[in-house]
Amino acid sequence: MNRRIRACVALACASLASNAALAEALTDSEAKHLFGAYGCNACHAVDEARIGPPYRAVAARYLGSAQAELDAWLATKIRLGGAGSWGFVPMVANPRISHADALAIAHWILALERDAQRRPGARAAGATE
Amino acid sequence: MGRARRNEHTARAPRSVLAAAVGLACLLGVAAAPPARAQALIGRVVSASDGRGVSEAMVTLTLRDGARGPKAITVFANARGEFRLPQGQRELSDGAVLRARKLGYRQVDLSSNVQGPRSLQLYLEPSSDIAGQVPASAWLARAPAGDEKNITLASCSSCHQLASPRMRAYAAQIEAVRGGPEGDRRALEEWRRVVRHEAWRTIVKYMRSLHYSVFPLESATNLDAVDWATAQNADLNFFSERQGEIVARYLAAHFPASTASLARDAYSYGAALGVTEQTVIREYAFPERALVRELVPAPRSRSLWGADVRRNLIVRLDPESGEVQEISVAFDGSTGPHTIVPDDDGSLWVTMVDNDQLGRFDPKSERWKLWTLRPSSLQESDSLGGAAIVHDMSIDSRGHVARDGAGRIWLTMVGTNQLGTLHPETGEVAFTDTNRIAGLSPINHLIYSAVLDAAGRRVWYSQVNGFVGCVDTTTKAVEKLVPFAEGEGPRRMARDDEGHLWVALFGSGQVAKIDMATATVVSKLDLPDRSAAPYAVTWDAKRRAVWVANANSDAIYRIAVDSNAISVIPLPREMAYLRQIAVDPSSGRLVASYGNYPEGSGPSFGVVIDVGDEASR
Repeated sequence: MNRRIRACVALACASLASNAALAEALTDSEAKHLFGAYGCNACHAVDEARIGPPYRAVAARYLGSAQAELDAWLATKIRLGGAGSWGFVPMVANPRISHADALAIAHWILALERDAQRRPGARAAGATE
Repeated sequence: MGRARRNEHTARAPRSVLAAAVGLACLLGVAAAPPARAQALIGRVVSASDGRGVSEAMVTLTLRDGARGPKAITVFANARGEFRLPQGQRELSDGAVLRARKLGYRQVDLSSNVQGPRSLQLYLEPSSDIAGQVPASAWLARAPAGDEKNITLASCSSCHQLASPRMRAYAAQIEAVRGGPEGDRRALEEWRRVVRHEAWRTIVKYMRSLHYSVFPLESATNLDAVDWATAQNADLNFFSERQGEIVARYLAAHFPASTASLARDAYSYGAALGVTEQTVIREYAFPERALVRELVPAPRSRSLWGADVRRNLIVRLDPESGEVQEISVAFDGSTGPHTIVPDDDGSLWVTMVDNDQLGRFDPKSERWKLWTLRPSSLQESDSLGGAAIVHDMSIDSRGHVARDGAGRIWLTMVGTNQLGTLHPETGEVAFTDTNRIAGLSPINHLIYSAVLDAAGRRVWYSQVNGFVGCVDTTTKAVEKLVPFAEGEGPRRMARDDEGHLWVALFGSGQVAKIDMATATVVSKLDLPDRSAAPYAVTWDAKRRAVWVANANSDAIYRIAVDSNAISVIPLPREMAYLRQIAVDPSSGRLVASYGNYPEGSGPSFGVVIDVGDEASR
């Protein structure tokens, strides 16, 4: 990633992080609606590997990081796309997704493992690389 | 499964009146007062360097949100650079913005919000970089021609512009990928080639599952209703497995590595502009969530009528006020109104891609009558394999619904590569097989439009991935076939009054003229931009012209049929993704809309064009 793109991503992340606390927790039904409306389900599913990684694998990989920053980072990734985390094929940018919806989606995805960890008897956190 | 079933249904339309423009105007207290008389806005577009007039510059007045009438009005400067907008004096002092544009130039003095002058000057200067000015098609202008390019254009442009801003952004992402073998330049080049190929192959996969976005969000036919293997099944797509691989390979090899800049001489319209100082383009805003693919006039109606494929409704646009009324389809379920065609009595016939519906809406009674057309060969499934996709209906030379000698309307059935027939009075429905091409599933053929001959004895059909053919309406046998090479992409057709069938060749950027008596191609005309993806053609008897609606070139082409001369009407908006053009018989105006998939990805406007020629007066 060149310097200019890095700077843009950093700025966008910073901006989103300041709003991260405002991210509304989506219900499963609301999340499903957004995945359909924005075409996320054309590449991803909760547990199934489609074109991109399952949401649960994304959540597991980043488990343990600071929540607000991670929500903001993933939201930025959803909107701007990018490559490197899951192979060399880039994920498309999704500029139609608003900042607020991207944050809410990111929060919902990452909560898949956070919430599981909070439940009694949850397995130890760990990356699934 | 959730697919609703009914054979015939009549109901009053549940209405929800949007009236966005007028509603806002009322809030602002504008509608209560009589509309002020429009004052023409006169000005000049001049070169910033020498003060000379810039001819054929496009001047657009964009009105403030909520203003009555169109959202934007565009005119063209004459040879001295002078322009005359039919209105604008009052609007300029009320938040409207005025801009001048010309390919190869940039505006250097934005004369917006100027108070009160009766004459304005807008300044342009030559620009060496035209990347921000060119249509999507420009990025393929120098890519190698041939079948692979045609297949790529025909496959991708069915749903979005090629190369759309999102495609260009993705190409930049591919180039930004880092890694690969170090120290060996050839190995690194090979690695980068693999990255490009795999990335575009991934996009082809993505597009396969996005086929389900053709249906309304509420549809039972959706990605959550099918397993992943079914979602990716090329036999249920508009392009085959083999074609998808050709697309990925072509894009990997030829999509520009950078679209950040474009030299001034790298793109031109390719033909003379067909505009005058009387040409006026009016654009009417639809809601952002709308996806109005087509807009048509209808006999005895001052309104324009559009079909919104994603919201299960049709729209009624008042071109005077800009008011948009939304009229839901009277059906208990998702419908996806796709093609809208008037009949001679002023009713609107609407094919629907979901739940196998054909509808007729009577504007006077505001009642719908619906018919179900479902071939028995279709599987019961919420996948694309279970969808009839009622697509286009038989039309005459005016673009009105046409019936055969027995009173039947003929329809193309994308799901089964068949023609359907409906007798509206008896409700009788039947289906007829068309030609099959080896290696293609029924839906892969992408059977598209239907045109009835003047005698009503033969119905002509097109297949985007196949041929043009005709069926005898009495025997229902395929009588003649006109072969086309893979990728040429015969899409929408029109018939003139002299026995010719005009066919938009979506992939090859041409228009074919077929002698309907002999089923032979009389000529193939190269369009000014071969990457334009011509979607539809329309016969204009008064002008003796064929109008060409293009997906990729942000322009309309006019073919003068007596000379085969082609001229260009550039459109004032990027991503002006056109599907169909209708000619208003009383005014000679052209009527169209921008319908980008998915909704919200591009401008959502109805378009009305005063051509500004003899036939307009």
